[in-house]
Amino acid sequence: MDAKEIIICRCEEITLAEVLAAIDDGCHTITSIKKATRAGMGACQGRTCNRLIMQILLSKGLQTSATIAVDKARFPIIPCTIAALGEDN
Amino acid sequence: MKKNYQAIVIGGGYFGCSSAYNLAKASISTLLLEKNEITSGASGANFGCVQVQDASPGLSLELTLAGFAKMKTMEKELNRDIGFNLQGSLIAAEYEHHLPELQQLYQTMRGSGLNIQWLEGERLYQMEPNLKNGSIRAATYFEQGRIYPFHYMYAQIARGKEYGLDVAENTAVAELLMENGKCTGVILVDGNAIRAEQIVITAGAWTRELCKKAGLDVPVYSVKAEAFVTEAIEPFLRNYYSSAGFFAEAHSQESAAMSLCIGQSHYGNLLIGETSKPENMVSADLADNTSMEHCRRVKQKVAEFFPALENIKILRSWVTASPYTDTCLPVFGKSAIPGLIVAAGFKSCAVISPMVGEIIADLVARDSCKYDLSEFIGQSKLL
Repeated sequence: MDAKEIIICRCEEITLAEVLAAIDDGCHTITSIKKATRAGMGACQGRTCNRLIMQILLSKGLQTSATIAVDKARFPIIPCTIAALGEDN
Repeated sequence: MKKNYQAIVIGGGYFGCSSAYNLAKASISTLLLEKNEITSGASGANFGCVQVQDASPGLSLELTLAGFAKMKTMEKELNRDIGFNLQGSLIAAEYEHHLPELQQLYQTMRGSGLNIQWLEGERLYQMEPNLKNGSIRAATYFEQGRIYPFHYMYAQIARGKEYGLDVAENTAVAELLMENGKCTGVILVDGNAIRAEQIVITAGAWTRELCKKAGLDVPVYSVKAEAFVTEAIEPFLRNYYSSAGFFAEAHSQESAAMSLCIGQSHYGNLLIGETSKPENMVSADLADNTSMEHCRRVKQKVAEFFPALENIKILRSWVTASPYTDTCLPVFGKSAIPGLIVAAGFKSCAVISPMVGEIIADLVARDSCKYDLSEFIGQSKLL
């Protein structure tokens, strides 16, 4: 299948071809690929694509199981409304 | 990575990427060192606003206008999409006490020949229909621009590499290498030394610490800045909105307070920031901790100015050390230490960065540039 037809990040609709282009540009971590392509910036915050990108980096030998780092999870973990901010519970 | 270069640039943000790219383009052998990853500091936390109307009068404004003109041609120069487009900017006097400062900005900019507009009443809400009616006193308006920060910085790195630029990420500098009163290179955390004829420090909030060890006081400080990004929604904001209190209130060690900035990204997400509070440095272990005050204040400010957003969902947050100087003027130019060039503490960064890179390349290649930077670099002093 054509890399332009394979979706890696469902939320932002980022294809395998875009991820591979970022890798060619020197982005060899999940975080830098996210910044270069937006893969992982959508509603699910990388829950699906992080694993796929991890596999791509490992299979290309750009990372090993010892060096691969996950993208840092950040507040609010699951999307929350602005109105819900600052509520004590 | 070689052992010798003509130039070493320390810090991979707006100024480091632009300097490294311009140096490589000028056929100067250059190494860019970044302690984390390219764009991992304040530049990667930035909203990409190509802000013109809040520039300080004088050389800052001159370089800002030249930078704005240059930014319009950067996609062609870099042969990449950097997300540049024109976008309006509103600087809002949210409260009565913001009015004198905004009036002064308006008059100064008009006096400098910048055709910014003063909006109040009906015209204000025609310009920004989703701003809560009656919530602000007045605003200044100017059509400027925006970029997508990551694309802009990565594009310069990619183009720089085509010109032979070397980039080393996750490579921290322990200290500057000083020999006979000159800066002759860097010593990395792993103990290795790399030499260069000129060292360019574009390390934002970390500039001061790095220069201090070499005997130079660089008065660049930082505040903790926090931001949220929401889910993508249909076009909601026409302009980039920021509070007139931003520079007076947000960048102060004494009275730092929430000062709302909000813009809609190329992709429809709303970018909301930046609570700032006095903090000399955001330490590594606090670097991603969103504060409860930030959550409460954003909720309050959104209810006050953009209540329609209350039920929009936040996807993530970030925190950074945002550099500033007390004078709002950068520390920029050839320092009193031979071989050491500093570029840090700029007011609005994206817009001025193309000019800074160009000037750095001139300073390294020709030992001079066409601008008199003495007021900027004169803020740094030998210890």
